[in-house]
Amino acid sequence: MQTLVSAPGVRDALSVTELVRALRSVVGGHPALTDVLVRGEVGSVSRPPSGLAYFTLKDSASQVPCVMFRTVVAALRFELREGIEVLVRGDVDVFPAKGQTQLLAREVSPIGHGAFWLAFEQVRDRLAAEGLFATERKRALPRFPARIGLVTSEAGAAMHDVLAVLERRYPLGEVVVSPCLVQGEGAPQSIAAALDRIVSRVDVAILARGGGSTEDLWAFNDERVARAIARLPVPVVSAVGHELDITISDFVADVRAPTPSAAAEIVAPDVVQVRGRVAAARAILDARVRERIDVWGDRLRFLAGRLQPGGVARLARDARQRVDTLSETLHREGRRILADLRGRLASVIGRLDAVSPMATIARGFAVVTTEDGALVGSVATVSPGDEIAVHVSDGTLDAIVAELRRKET
Amino acid sequence: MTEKTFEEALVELESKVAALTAGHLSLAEALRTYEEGVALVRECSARLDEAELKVTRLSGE
Repeated sequence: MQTLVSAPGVRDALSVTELVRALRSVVGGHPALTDVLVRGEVGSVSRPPSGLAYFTLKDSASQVPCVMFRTVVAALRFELREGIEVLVRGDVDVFPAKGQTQLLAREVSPIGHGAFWLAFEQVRDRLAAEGLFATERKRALPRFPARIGLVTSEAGAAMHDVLAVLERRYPLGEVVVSPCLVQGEGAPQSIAAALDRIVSRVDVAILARGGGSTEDLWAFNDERVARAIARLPVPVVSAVGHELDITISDFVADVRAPTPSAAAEIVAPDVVQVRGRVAAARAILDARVRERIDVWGDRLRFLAGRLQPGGVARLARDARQRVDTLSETLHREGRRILADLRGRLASVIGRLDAVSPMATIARGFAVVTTEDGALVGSVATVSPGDEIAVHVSDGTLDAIVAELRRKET
Repeated sequence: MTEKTFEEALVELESKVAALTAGHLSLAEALRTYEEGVALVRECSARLDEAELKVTRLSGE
């Protein structure tokens, strides 16, 4: 039997790469396989860290591998999940490493839910363009809301959950329930009206609905609901469905809570913590005032020490001592001055005695006057036979001039 | 004058604490601030003790 290897054309055999290249040249760019629109169900999805996404697109009989490049993945407006039906636009190509044909998806949109999603995207884009989702629009929640609005269905678990949490955590507040339909025909208008009714009655509002299917939650993607949230003058916490459900209400609201219970926790402070703060305030007040009192107490004790009887006695003793010292000084000085004065007086008197003519007379001198009392200082003043008076220390001698003898000069 | 809200009472209490902590009050002012603070502590505590969640329902659907 002639083997393939021994056949004469062995040297003409294609390499695998050559074959795949040939396949690619036929498939790639073929008009029937370029810019095709395919509908099918999403099979397994894989999203490696590279940022690309791989999924299979299938129907009951066949499947085709699809790949999305990063930019396409980024532009997706829904979560690509197994089981959903999608419409894919793209080009067929061959992946050389596997020799496998695949669909390079350029656009993927959901069908079935598609009508919903389209509306969702349209509303979302329009409101975003108007700035309704802008961060600077987000208002801060009050620390201690006195009145909490709760917009939800009275029939739902959400109301029960919210009330249970508030009862436990924050009995200080008042809850104003504004009931509404949360699903089905008329729900959007009902929610919007319920939101409008609580205007000016509350400090904060919770818009809540328990979990449900995408269709069940759909009213919360309605533009009328979004605008009612936006025009509410108080902050709104949106809690629609479970953690993974995102609605347009969540975008417009000031805060998004993953669940209604979480919304209640976000809105209301825990009363246990509040008690703690009050107790802490009390402790600080006590400590500070005690400090102040201690400081003032020290001052008072110091002043009191100065005022105590012993203190005064000491002061008085000091004062008296000073007075004594002063008076002693005065006395001593006085005596000294007096002695001095006496001394000076005696010396003055002595000097006076020395210059008095009486003292001279006492030593034996005499003063001679004429009959009329004129001093006789010269022989020329009198003549022989004149009566004169000779005054001595203890009396007067009446005498007559017998003879004049002039001193020879 | 309307009754103060719990938050107003708490804010006032915390401002008393801050004033007393700052320490520039005279002794008389400090004592008055302390007394006012303690009154607010009592008020807040009483409100917390008496608190009971009130639920009202709006009609008009």
